This record gives sequence, structure tokens and C-alpha cells, in this order.
Amino acid sequence: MKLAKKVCLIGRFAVGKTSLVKQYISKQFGDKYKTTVGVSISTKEVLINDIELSMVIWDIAGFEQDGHYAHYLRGVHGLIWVLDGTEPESFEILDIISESIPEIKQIPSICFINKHDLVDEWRVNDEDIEKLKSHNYAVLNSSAKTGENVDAGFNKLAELMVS
Amino acid sequence: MIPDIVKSFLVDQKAGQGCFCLALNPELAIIQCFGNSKLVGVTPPDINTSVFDFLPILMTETFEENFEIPFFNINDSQVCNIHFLKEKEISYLVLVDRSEIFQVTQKYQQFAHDDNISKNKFKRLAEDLEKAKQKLNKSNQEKAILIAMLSHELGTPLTSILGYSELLLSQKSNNTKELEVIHRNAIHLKHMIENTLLFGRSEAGGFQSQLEYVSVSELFNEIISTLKPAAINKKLKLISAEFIDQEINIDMTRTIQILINLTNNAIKYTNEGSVQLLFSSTEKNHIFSVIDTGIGVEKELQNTIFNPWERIEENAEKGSGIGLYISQKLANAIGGTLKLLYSSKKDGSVFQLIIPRSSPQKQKIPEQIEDFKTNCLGKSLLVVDDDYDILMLIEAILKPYGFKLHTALDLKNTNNILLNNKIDIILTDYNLGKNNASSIIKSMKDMNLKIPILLMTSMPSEIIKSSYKTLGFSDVITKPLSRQNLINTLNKNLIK
Repeated sequence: MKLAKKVCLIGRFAVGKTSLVKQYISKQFGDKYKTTVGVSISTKEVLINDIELSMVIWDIAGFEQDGHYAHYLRGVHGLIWVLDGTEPESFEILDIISESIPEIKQIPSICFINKHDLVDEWRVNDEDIEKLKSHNYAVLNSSAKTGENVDAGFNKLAELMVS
Repeated sequence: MIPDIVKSFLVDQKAGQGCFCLALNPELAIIQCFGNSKLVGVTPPDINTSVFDFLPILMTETFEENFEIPFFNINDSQVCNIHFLKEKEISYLVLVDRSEIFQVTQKYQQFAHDDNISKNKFKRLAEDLEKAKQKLNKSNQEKAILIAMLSHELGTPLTSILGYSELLLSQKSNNTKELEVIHRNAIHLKHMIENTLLFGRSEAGGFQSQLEYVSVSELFNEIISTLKPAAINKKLKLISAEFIDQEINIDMTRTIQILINLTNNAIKYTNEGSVQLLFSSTEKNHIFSVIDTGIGVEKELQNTIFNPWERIEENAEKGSGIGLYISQKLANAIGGTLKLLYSSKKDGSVFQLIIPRSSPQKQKIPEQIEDFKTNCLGKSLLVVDDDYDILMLIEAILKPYGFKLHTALDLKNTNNILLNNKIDIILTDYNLGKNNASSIIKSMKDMNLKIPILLMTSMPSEIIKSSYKTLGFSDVITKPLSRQNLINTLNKNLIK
């Protein structure tokens, strides 16, 4: 059986969305930050429980603009929230988007707290983590640089989408 | 999964230049380019290629309704807006080239994001710096409290040692030499405690300059009377200009402390000759000089002599190594400077304290100090202290002056004495076992008594002194007690 699913990455600018995709698709990481404008698409074929799944990964620009996400989230099957552990303000996007597009709460989702390689510079506190848990999706500390939990996160979402 | 939505296509020439139109047929992609499309760099799939190989973004589309995908990145340099339009049975997929706009937008967005990232980095650094500063301030305050507590605890027994040794020396005992050693070392310890306390306060940033008019002669006399025993012990001449008939407006306490530190150092590091105190004034500054004929400061040490824990090792004299550091801190705190003007092994050293002249203030009216014995004759003095040794010491110092003395170790006894006797003046320590001296003020209020009450406490800052006065204390006497200071303060309050 073959399936194609649309996966969107959401997060503030510079949290590492493009780097996570690059690490997942090609196991590469670039130190230089290049901002994404609009959307970049990548695909990844995975086999989940005998299902050949084509993940069409939408790496959406992180700039904040009214209604910016509406065009891109149409018909989405899975969401990856990307937060930056060194930047607690990046956590605010979760509430902002969940409130402006309430229906996305029903979409299978996972959450990366990225830049775990810089854990000494993390500024998240227990309150931030508790708040994340209230959203009821898997939260993984990740590093696009080292690859920590990157495959695990995408694969977890793939399982959620086909189940 | 993909509906067979496109059976044929109709290309609208009005789509115009820069548009790239695809007619969709999931089985067979039919691709046409029109106008001067910038997307010519895209390798057009051949006629047999599925449109989804070319635009995988469409793989998950249902094509049931119109949609738009702005700024779709085909590759690093080519970007288009994708529009899907469905009209009756014909569907159009229109790719509008946005590469040029993308380049400009990308440039500005990159700049804005880089700028934002830099700002966030600076913001975080500033926050970290502020946190570190607060932590440091807190730790300095805790250290200052600890030092103050230790100084207080050390000050109480020291008061007894200093007081009794001074008392015995004045009574010409048989063991004068031994008593002098005890007294000299007690004074040394007193200076160390004072310096340690001032060090703690200067680190915590907790003192303010208090200006008052003082005669230069009086100021020098105080320094000389404090340090004369040490100078005599080393057979040194400790001299100042004979008479300087000038009143200056300065922070007397701090200035004396600095000059005592400088003079004490000069005595320590001078083996023969003299230590001289000089004063001069310019239009802008008051200048105090301490000149010695001592061993001098090595050239390489001259730049670091004001750093904490720096000392001249050549001399076997005792010293903590923070005297000059504290003196410089104090000098800065009162707006002045302290410097080593000159030093050589042959001629000794010259240290200078330079204090800017303050703006003229109302001159202090000199107090009319009457004869202490006359003032206290027949007066009732109540001394309260939970330390028996201190009580006995004060009694021994003051009894010869004709006071009628009462002593109490705690609040209960104090209240009994106040109830049953006419008391003219009270001298009390702050800590009284379970209670403190504020309770005496409360008791006096309850008994409707108005009696001057003098508080003895360890080296209080001006702010603390002022807060004690707000609580109702008439005056504050600094511990370790100096006999002269005790008499002066009592006298001042008796003639009020």
C-alpha cells in the first residue's frame, strides 16, 4: 500500500526547521543560517507497518505574518512544531497558531525542542516544559547538528499519520 | 488518489509573460511554456514524466478546490507562486515566476533575521550580565552582613581587653610593659576589625559621605594620639605641623580612617627617623601628606600597592594587606584620590590624600564642652549590657567622675531600675539577650519617661546611625569603646 502525506514544520525563524529537514533527508548540517522565504519541499519515502509512505515535507518560512500559515497548512496530515531551547520566546508560537487555527489541534503532531547540542545555553524552565506537555504530543529534545532524535521524531510522526 | 480532473487544457494567452502554465493530467503531464518565463531554467519534464516528479508538492493535493501556494522554492534560485484554478471541467495550474521578488525579499528577510538574532544575543548577554551583577551584589551584601556580624562579635570582647588594659595603664600598674604589649596588640586588632568592616562595606557599596567642619589640628591630634604609642615603641618621631588654624568641611570619619591607615603603615615600614603629617590647600583641593623615612616601596610594587592583599614583604611587621586598598576605596567614596607621590629606598615614601573642597555649607557651631566632672556629678547613669565584663569596664571608667551608677544585664532589671529610680541618662548595648535596646525605648514610653538614651554598637554606618536615631536613640557610640569617645558623647548629651 502506498500513501502520500503532507507534513508541515512550524516554528519561529532561526529555530532550525530547514536544518532538521536537511538532517533528516540527507544527513547534513550547515552552520551558516539562511532564512527561508515561502516554502521548500522535500520528500522522504519511509516504510511503516508495510505501508510505503511518501512524506511530503513542507518547510515553511518562520517569519510571523497575519494569516501566513493559512495557505500552507491547507490539507496538512502531520505537524512538526520546532522550538528553540536557547530561545524561550520561540515557545510562544505554539499558543499563537493553535489559537488562530484551532482545527490544527486535531492533526497528528510532534514537537522538537531543538539545539540540544547547545544544552548549556538552554533557557527553558520547568514551566515552559509543563505547558508543552499540556498539548498532548510527543516532545523530543533534538539537534539538527548532531542528528539527535531527528529520525526518531519524523518516524514517530509517520507512525501517527498512518495509524 | 489523484482525480482525473484534466481532460484537456485551454491556455489563456492572457496569462501573460512570466507565467508558466501546466495543464494537469495525472496520467500524462502536458507542459507548455508561454511568454518570456523566467522559469526556463527549470528542466521541463518530457512529455511522459509525471507532473508529480516535477512538482512533488502536488502529491498530496486533492484538486477539489482552487488553491494558492505562495513562494514555492523550486530550487535555490527559482521561486514561483503556484495557483490552481478549476473552471468547469478544465483545471489550470499556473506558476507565476517570483524569482526576482524572492531574491529581494530573501535579502531583506535575511538582513532582518540576522539583525534580530544579533539583538537577541545582545539581549541575552545583557540579561546574563544583569543576573550575574545581582548575584554578585547579593553575595557582597551577604558577605558584608557576615563581616559586620563577625566584627560585632569580635568587638565585644575587644572592648573589654582595650578598656581594661587602658584602665590598668592609667593606674600605673607594676606590669606596665606587659600591659602595653596587650594594649598595643588590642589596638592593632581593633584597626584590623575596622578595616575588615570597611572592606566589607566598600565591597557592598554601602556607605555615604558625611561632611562636617573639623579643625585640621584636631584631626591631626586624633591621629597622633591614636598612633603615638606605636611610634614611641619604634623610637620614631611622629609629628605634624604644630598648629594649623584652619577648619575644613570634609568627611571626618573616613578621612581619619584613611590617615590612620597611611600613618600606621608609615610607622610599620619605618625603622628609624620620622613620620610626618602635612596639610595644604589649593583653590580646588585639600591635600594631606604622610611622609616617612622608611624602607620605601619597590618600583615594581608601586603600581600594585593599592591592590588588595599586596604588601611589602621585606618588613616583619604585621599587616593584612588590605589597608591601602581600603584607604583608596574610602578616598574614592568621599570623592578624593589617594596616591603614592614618591618612594625610594634611600628617602622613604610620600603618600598623598587629595580631597576636593566641598561647596560651603552651614558651619557647625562648636560645642561648648563643659567640664565633664561638673556635668556628671550626682547624675544617675543606667548602663545596660548583657556582657558582664563590659558593664564592669564602663563602671570602672565612669565611677571616678562622680556618676551614680546603675547596671542591668537584661530588660527586666532595666525596667525595675527605671521604675524605682530617677535616671538622668541611659547607656545601652543593642543586643540584650532575648530582647534588644528598642524594648527599653518602648518601656520608657509606657512609663512616660523621657531620658536620653545612648546606644553602643559596632562601627555603624551613617545610614544605620541615622536609622537608630529615628528609632528614638539620642546618640550612637561606636564599639570597641574608646574612653575618650565615651566621655565626649556622654558629656555632649548631659549638657543638651
